[in-house]
Amino acid sequence: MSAVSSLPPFVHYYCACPDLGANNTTQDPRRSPEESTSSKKDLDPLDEKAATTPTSSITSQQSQQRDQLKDQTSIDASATGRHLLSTQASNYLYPLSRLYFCEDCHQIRCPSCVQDEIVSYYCPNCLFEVPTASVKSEKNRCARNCFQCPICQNTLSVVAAQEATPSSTPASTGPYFLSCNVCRWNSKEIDMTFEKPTSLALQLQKTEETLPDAKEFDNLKDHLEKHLRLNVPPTLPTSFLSFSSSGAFSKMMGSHLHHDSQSQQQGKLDDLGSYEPAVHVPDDDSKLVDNLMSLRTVDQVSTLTQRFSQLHDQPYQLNHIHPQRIHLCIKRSKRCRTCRHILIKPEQKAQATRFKIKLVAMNYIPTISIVKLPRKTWPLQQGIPTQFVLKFTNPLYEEMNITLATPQMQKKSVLLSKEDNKSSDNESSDNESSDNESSDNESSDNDYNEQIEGVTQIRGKVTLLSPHFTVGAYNETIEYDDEMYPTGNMRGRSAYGSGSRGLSSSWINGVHEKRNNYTSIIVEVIPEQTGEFQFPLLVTYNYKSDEDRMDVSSGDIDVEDIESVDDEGSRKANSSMRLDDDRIKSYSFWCLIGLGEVTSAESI
Amino acid sequence: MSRNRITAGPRAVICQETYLQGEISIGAGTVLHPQCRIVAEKGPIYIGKNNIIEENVTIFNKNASPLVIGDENVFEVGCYVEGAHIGNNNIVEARAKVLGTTTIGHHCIIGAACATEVNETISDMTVVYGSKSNRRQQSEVFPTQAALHARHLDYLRE
Repeated sequence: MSAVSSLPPFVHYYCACPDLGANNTTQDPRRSPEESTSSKKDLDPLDEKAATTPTSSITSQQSQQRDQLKDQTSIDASATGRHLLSTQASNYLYPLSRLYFCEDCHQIRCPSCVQDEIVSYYCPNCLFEVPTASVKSEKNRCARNCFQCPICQNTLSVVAAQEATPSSTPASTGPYFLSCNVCRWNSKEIDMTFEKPTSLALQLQKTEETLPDAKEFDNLKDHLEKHLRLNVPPTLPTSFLSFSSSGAFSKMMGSHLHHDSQSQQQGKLDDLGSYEPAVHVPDDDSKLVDNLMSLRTVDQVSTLTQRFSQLHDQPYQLNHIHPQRIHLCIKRSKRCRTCRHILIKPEQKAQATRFKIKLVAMNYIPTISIVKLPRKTWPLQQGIPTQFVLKFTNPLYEEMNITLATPQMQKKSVLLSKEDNKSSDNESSDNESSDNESSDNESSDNDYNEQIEGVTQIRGKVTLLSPHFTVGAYNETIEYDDEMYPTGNMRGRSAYGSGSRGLSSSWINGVHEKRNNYTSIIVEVIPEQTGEFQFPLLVTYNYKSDEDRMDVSSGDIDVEDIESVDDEGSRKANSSMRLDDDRIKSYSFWCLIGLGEVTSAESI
Repeated sequence: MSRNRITAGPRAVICQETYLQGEISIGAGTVLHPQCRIVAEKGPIYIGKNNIIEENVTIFNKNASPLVIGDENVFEVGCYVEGAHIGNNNIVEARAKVLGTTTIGHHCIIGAACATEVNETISDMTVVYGSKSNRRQQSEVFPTQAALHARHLDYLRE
């Protein structure tokens, strides 16, 4: 078979991460190309159509005019969405499962543009939550009986040496040791046994302290402490807010700077003296080399992963590797960087997997999935028009209208004009991407443009059969009800039970199927080149949100001010009249839809 | 042509929904869980004493030579055993595969989802484990396992 399965189809959403440090919007990513890789994050915060830098193959002898032209074409590229096809944009493309949504800013947030804060530390094995104060003293490891197998890095379990038989004492006595269930290693192989089955870490700590490195470190610390006590440099205060006046502040800063130069002049550092290592660590490298040279099998040599678990000496011999205590894991809460609103907040307890606050994108923006039509050719073949279905699922409790757009295609020698770009976003532009003879030829830098287009060109033609449609609202009864909610496609057909779906033959609006809270539309693609086929899609949706409902009875508005209430507005029939403040909320985002690999038509 | 000739020793427990085909001899005290398949297609299968063969285990003999399985073995759920000769006190864990004409010694453990190669010899006391590949390692001590096995058998026979 072919290697098609390595490139599965996907729908990835693009997060326009706002850059909080950008003070000058015109200057943005269009600095010199040496900074192009680092300035990826400098995006226009006002515009959600993020612009990334063009390919870094541009030489550094750029005139100012070329910079400006680059400005323009980059903006153009972003406005049409072709920047999504560049490799740099792949840093900002995420599947829906990884995206969050900030309600206040009304925008998508990705893992890069949220701020993480640690909620709690816990051990993944015993699920014991370690208080933050003792985390550092335990060196970020579990203080109880959780150890890691030196061979296979799985958790070790504590086993008694002797079985409890009815004749012996009820509690299984005898030395305890650790054993691994996966690789059947046990600590008897390195002569490690314990008297009691609990608090093993404590018992091990005593042996750890006798290691030569630990003793050496203690000696060094003692020696240097004497020196430190003599000339302690004045440390900066933790917060400058504690200064009562500016005079005190300048005095502190002056003394700090002054003191450093003074101490160097006085040569107090000479008092350090020579240090004799108290513990002599034997240098057995030559013995190790001899050992390695006389190996017959490689069984006794540790692998890299095994060696990295014990960083202080990293032994080559497998029986010198001891089981290490298990590292602690953390629970994080995520926060939007612009408005400081918490997006994700897990529960404090280690066993609880739920979240107190969970603002994930799946609950706010429509879910896009790819559905294969029956009897259609798959995988895609070059030059053959193939249709598939894009299914939009609406998570909101209100109906939403969705408008789709794809970037315009263009011929190689033609630049996009500015007029076409600016109109592409806000309207419901039915951008059927046929060969678009847009724009005037800008004379300069043709080869530069070709470089851009070579990278960010869609490899084929994409046609959306119905770029504007509505998706029904979600309500809880959908889960239990198999019946179809009435759709616009059913005129002229009698609805008989659940058998009447919008079949593919009803191409009235181009909508393939419209049910409870999802709508499927047909998209046709004609791939023109082999390789992976991806195309960007701009999704704009708007819905009527009924927030801020003003209630007459509470005296917010006067009775005389109430005009005629539409039928859609008064969903809840109440005794008191309500005036809904109908705000149409709209949001748009880009996504990149990948359809896997395109094979050439000859290889069938 | 498979003639079904099944002989079972005393105290063997063979559940009703098992699928046995061919010439099979089952030793004393062996327990066969329901839904296991023992197919002696081309050659006979001789199973020893006190084995535990759990659900969905397939023991297949594609070779003309007999497949001999020793005593006190455990074949956990979902494993697939071909092989030529399996010794005593082995554990073949869940979803493991013993392929081809491999020979397994005594006191071995084939870990979960691991597979042996075709025509391999696994010596005594080896442990095959590992997520992606099979890694071997010698194990030493087994005091508790025999007792555990006996208790397991008693429990099943009740």
